[in-house]
Amino acid sequence: MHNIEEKLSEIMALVFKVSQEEINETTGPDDLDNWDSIGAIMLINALEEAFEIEFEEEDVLEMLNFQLIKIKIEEKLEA
Amino acid sequence: MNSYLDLLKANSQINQAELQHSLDILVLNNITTQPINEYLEYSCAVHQIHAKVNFGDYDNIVQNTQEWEVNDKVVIVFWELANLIHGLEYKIDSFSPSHLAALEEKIQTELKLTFKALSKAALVIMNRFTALPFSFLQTESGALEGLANRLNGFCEQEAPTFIKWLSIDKCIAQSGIDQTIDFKGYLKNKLLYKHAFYWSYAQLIQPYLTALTGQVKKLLALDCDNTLWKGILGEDGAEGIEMDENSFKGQAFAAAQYRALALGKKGVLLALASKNNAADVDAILLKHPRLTINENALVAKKVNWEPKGENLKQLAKELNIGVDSFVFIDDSDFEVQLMCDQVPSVTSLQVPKNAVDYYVVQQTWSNYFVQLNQSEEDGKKLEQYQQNVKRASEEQKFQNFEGFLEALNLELCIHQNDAGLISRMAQMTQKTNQFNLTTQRYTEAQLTEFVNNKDYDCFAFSVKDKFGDSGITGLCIIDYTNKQSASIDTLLMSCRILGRNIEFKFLEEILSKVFEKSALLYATYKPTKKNTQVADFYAKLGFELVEKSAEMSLYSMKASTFVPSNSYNYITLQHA
Repeated sequence: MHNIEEKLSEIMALVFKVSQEEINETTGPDDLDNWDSIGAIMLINALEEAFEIEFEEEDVLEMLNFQLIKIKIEEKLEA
Repeated sequence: MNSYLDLLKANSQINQAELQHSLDILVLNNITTQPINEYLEYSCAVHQIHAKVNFGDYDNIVQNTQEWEVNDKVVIVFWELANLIHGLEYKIDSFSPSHLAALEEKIQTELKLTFKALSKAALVIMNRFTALPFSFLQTESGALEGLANRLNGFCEQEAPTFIKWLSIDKCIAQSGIDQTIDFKGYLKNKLLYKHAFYWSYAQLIQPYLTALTGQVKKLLALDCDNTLWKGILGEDGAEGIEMDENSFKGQAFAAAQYRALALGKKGVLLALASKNNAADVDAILLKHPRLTINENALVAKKVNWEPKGENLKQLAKELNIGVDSFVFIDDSDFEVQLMCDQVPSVTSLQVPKNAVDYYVVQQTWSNYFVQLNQSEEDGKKLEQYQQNVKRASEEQKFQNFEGFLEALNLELCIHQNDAGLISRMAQMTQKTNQFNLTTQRYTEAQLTEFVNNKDYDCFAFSVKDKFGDSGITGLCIIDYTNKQSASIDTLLMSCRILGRNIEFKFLEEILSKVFEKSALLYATYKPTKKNTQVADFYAKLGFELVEKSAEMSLYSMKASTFVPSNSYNYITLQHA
């Protein structure tokens, strides 16, 4: 599942306008200036578009850092 | 650009620091519009503009306009009808008439407050109210559509003319509801619009943003064969070419002629750029029964076998305007590619191979020539440029240039602080690039301030000679806010009046006026890519250089050293 990780970090870097090196397993809203409520919405939209999946409201509440988002995407792709 | 992610990737490649212009954009909204940031950045970057986009607080349009600084900013307002109150789109049909009237009155009051507060902005773009996303499946018009119509009517009546109104139905029409409206996003986060909507929106407002940075197109150069008419004159002959609007084959081309003609009426210069025998094309211009775009509508014909790029460069020189203000339309891949390669500053458009596509794409032609202020002068421009061509031939009759100038019967007429000229003066600051010492761009609101404030003097002028009247073609703004000295804030002239020493006569007159009020005058020259021709203008007039850097040269002159030269007495002076 290395692929998902790479794609996720690329998308997070684009949405939050940082370099990919600044993103690691534990990166969350407190680490990036642009990860505010609007930023979170933009990230969800971008992920839905890139992975062709759809998140539920409950999912979004759990997507609190890179690692947790990755797990959610994997779940959606397996379902 | 197929998706939001593609756009993010494209934007991450742009080096904003390399862009020549920049604009501060403030987006005010009562729905979530943050994604538009990326679309504006991209579309502006394509036009050499660094867009710095900020957003107002969610659903705080009126409050933000009252409290925030909007001077010199571009303000874009997303005032979404359906979200005037939460769920209006499904509630409104159950409202009592008095409830609806009260809501409408409240919105009208808020609109008026907003109009007033935004008068200092450099540019304001507002969207016409629309119910389309919430009514497109409904047979009969409901209350939401009625409200949209009435509010639009109100805005038409009450809104100041500086506000540009965009019908966002156009964005929806370009890609359809499915690609533009995000109902899920709206219900979850008030994110009503999707990728294709924002893409179209940024494209549709770009002409205003481009115009605001002074990048204005002035001339439309048209190829003839398969552009103004169907067919190749040299092969098919005068009988074989088609431009009859009553035939399917000819209608797209007849339409092209009318579209060009309409632009000409608005002040765009029209020229031909065609590889053909000049006599053959002249015969068509003179005699073809179906032709609407005739000789009189054209400022020049470059019909020959020379490279079109060379022809256009030469034409730019003859008319004394930049070749980067040219739009060139041709059906040939080769000619369009060659122009892009040889003279990249010309905007080159290719005629689509399919005549129906051609007919549709003609809608976009006028976008290239959008101006922020349309003035009465614009319609007269063709005549003035044609006079320039006549003057040039008269010039050759005289042995010496002085004699030629004297025989012109030149009259310079100066208008001081004339409120009737505000839109023309603002337009000149936005459009003039070459003879412009400081290249300060001003809005009508700012010029109104200068005209009414006694710490400023605005001098505009027109020039007349025996061939005709140039109209208002020059401007000088003097700033007296510093009590010890005056300074020249703005000095600009249209290039079509140069070459007759008007610029010297005008400035000498201004100097004698200024020195009645102040003993010391400062003047600056700020170099741009386009104004090198005036780099030594102040030096020529006897100003002393005080300070020089890469960004500017500062000059000064004392009242005691000013002596009118009396060299230009063949120019009669008048004050309006």
